[in-house]
Amino acid sequence: MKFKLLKFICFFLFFFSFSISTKALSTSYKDIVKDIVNIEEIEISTDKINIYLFYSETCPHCHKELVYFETLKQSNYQDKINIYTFEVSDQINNANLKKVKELFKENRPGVPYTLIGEQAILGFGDSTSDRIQTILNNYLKEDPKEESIKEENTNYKLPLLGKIDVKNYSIFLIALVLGLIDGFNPCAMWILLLLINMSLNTKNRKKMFLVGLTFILTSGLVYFLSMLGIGFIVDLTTITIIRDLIAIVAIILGIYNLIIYIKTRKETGCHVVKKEKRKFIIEKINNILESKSFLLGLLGTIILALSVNLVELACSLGFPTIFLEILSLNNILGFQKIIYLLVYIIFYLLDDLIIFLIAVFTLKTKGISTKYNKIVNLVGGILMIIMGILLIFKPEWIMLNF
Amino acid sequence: MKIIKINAMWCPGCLITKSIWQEIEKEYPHHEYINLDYDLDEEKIEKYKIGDILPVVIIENNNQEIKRIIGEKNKKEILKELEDLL
Repeated sequence: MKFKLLKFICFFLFFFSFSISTKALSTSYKDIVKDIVNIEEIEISTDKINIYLFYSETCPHCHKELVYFETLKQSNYQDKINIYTFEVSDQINNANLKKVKELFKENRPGVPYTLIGEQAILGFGDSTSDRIQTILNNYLKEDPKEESIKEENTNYKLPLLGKIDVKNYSIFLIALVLGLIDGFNPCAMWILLLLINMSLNTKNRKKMFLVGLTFILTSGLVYFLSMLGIGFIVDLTTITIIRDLIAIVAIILGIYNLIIYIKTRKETGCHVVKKEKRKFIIEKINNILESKSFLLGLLGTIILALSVNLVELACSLGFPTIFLEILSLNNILGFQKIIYLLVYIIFYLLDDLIIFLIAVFTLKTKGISTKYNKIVNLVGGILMIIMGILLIFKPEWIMLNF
Repeated sequence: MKIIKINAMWCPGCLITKSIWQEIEKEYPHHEYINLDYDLDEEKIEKYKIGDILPVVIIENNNQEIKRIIGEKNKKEILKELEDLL
């Protein structure tokens, strides 16, 4: 449904044009990559700019950039540029990519990586072609507007809201939905409920607030750091087989969720957690609540949150991995990626925070009906299967390009 | 009649059912209601041999179990199960 809506919106996306130059090269142009790639046929001339593109056969953004370069070659830039492409599954090209990234002090992994003179661009997003055009025009002495090249743009002007980027809003929405669904995962929820209920018995609202908040925030931090780690691996692996592997795992987890739903749809209530596990957690919480030292109590809470969340992490890795793959496919890196991860985490923690705050203010614990868990199993399972299938057969849809 | 409610602190379904039973207790005060915690009253609940689903409500008459309600139920469902007993 969501994709249909996006497809509809995308039909109305605007196109824009950009200008080119046909004049001689600026003296500021310096080809600093040539010596690294060390290819004999590279042409050095006074009126042509060399563009180097490191790409992967399996990366959809790279394909987009290659298509863009084909268009660029047909434009009035054709006499002004040489485009050299290097596929990174080749060992030498991969080694050269590393050297080039070192030269440009680029720490982030991934391709496409475009180099023009002393400028480098990692990724290919909405504004990359604009940036390439600006770089080319700066290296060319004049920039008369002669020809336009059509280029996809996801900026859309809406009444009242002004100019919005549909893609960014869509990813925000995906972060919100996946984070919320993931948050309903009962794996770690039972520990929070136990902590809240046991703290309620102390009748010490301040202690309850600090212990609960520390537990929730530490849990969020563990999840955030784990997602950063997974994201690093996802970005590092530009190989299709890894993406397919993630997709297959998503489909398997989706099917597993559906089986759980079918098996337990008529059951209500909670499945008993293993005795040893319960005893261990209850003992730790007792130690925290009975601790006379405030700092030791908080430290105990942090250790408890760290340990249980690390143990329970495997229980809910499906959605974070899919979300990170979506970010990777959409070339969302660096600071922007952190922002989206934080959005995901906030919505992941939302149900915990609501339950916790209600308990602090009313001194009563509210549970989320186990009936909702069944719905989450069903919706989550279907979503995982759809995402997995799209990752394999239509990754460009996950890139929100229809 | 004795109504034994077995809940756990970590079980969200128990929390939902617990508040419903509080209402029922007010409406039918002439019965004996006993709350047991799955973790804290381990010895007491052992004899009931409850399975792996919580909450469990056991209704006894003259120390004989006459009804068992397993799982999270809404008020209507609970009252329906107990319509001949309460």
